[in-house]
Amino acid sequence: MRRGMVLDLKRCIGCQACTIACKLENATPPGVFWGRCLEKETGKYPRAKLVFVPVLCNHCQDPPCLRACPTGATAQREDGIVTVNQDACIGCKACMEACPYEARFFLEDSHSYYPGHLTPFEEVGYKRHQKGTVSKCNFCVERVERGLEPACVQTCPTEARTFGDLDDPQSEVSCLLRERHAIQLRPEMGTNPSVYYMP
Amino acid sequence: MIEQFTIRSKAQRGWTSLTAIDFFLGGTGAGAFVLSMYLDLVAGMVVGWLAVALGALALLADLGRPERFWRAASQPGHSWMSRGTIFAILFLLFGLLRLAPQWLAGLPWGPATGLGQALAVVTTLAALGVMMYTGFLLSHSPAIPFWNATLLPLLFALYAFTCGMGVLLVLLPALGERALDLRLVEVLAMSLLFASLVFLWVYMLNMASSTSAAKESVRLLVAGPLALPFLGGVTLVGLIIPLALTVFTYLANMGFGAASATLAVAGVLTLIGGYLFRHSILKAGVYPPVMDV
Repeated sequence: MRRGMVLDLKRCIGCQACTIACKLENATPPGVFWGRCLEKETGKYPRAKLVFVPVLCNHCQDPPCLRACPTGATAQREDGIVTVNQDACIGCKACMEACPYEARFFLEDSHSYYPGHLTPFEEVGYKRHQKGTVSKCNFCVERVERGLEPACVQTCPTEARTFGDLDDPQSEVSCLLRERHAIQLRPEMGTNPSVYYMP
Repeated sequence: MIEQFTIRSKAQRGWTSLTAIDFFLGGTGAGAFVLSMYLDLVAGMVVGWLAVALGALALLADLGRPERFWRAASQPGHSWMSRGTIFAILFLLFGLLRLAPQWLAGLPWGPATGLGQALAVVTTLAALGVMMYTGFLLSHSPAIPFWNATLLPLLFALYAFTCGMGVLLVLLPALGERALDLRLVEVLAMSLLFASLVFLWVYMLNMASSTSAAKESVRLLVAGPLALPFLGGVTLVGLIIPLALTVFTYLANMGFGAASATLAVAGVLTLIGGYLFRHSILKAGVYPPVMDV
């Protein structure tokens, strides 16, 4: 089994619902965006347009972050999901330097999004994030183990995101990859991501 | 925060000035120790050992969770940071053992003994590891094209020897005329400075014809916000001026007092340039955009 995701860039409208869903599901502190949608303006008036590219951890088959990690805090499960054990992380940021996809975040401080005290949601949620460690998207592994989809996939209003088993030829992700041309981000870096983009 | 939501090249921000200090102290200290060991200079070995120890403290201060530092050596099979940690520990241990006979009589591994010579070899290997691992740490990942080059560990090792020589030049006036062959020191310094200058700019030229992200790194260093520390600090102050001073003392055939003072100035400038080299290389690390649009 190899869990992966296919992102349809023709459907993505850059609404950032996935960004917010990820924040709600994982209670990430300010400045930490495990999943988010990047944008860039291309072309010139009157043919200028915005390009939206949702990004997250690519859960690479050959993850450079895992090779860089000196403590074994970064590990890869049998289903291909790359996880971070925050209890083992020493915050050296070698994994951040090694990742080509801007997918990792160092937590310097867990302050509130609002002035004053932490909200009740933040008080509970921030306990999952250790100051001085690095964190990233884990494909909502706790949801996946309960048979659910990652929060970003469930939330997307245009169904631009599909999640499934890339090793199963009958899965929706495999069917999409057969039907349409898809690319990986920065394939020349040899990381073999498990996230594909259909332009 | 807006930058996090754009598709563009981005400079790395994880490793900062404290990382540069760690890299500088580690490499310089190891280089100074090895040169001093083979030139039979105890003071240089002590300063080198202390510099590496201080560099290790700087690394600890740079960690997000320093209380867990002991975990850093647990993945030598694939992590250059683990390997570097082990090299540093071995160097500090063997280096201390190598120095111990200076103060403790009767130890069976004095410099002239077989055991002592074996210890010197092992310490040299550990020191080489300390000098080079930071270059491998940067070059190992493909994420930052400016760093992802086979030449980078060699450049770091060469700079470690050059800065180690800088330490010896600074110590020269205090060591006295009989401690070292001045001509040998001058030739060694000229050779290392010249080699570093050539190697550095060969590396830069190589990167200037590489990927767009590597070209952006070069642009930052020669025409962007890092031009002053790189061109002014690393190249002019750190290499060209010390080289000129060293050549001058060699050709002028001065007395020890004047020559050692001039060489000490050259040494200080070399060390300033050596720190700015690590600082500039780290700051110039640029990730390419996640997608070409």
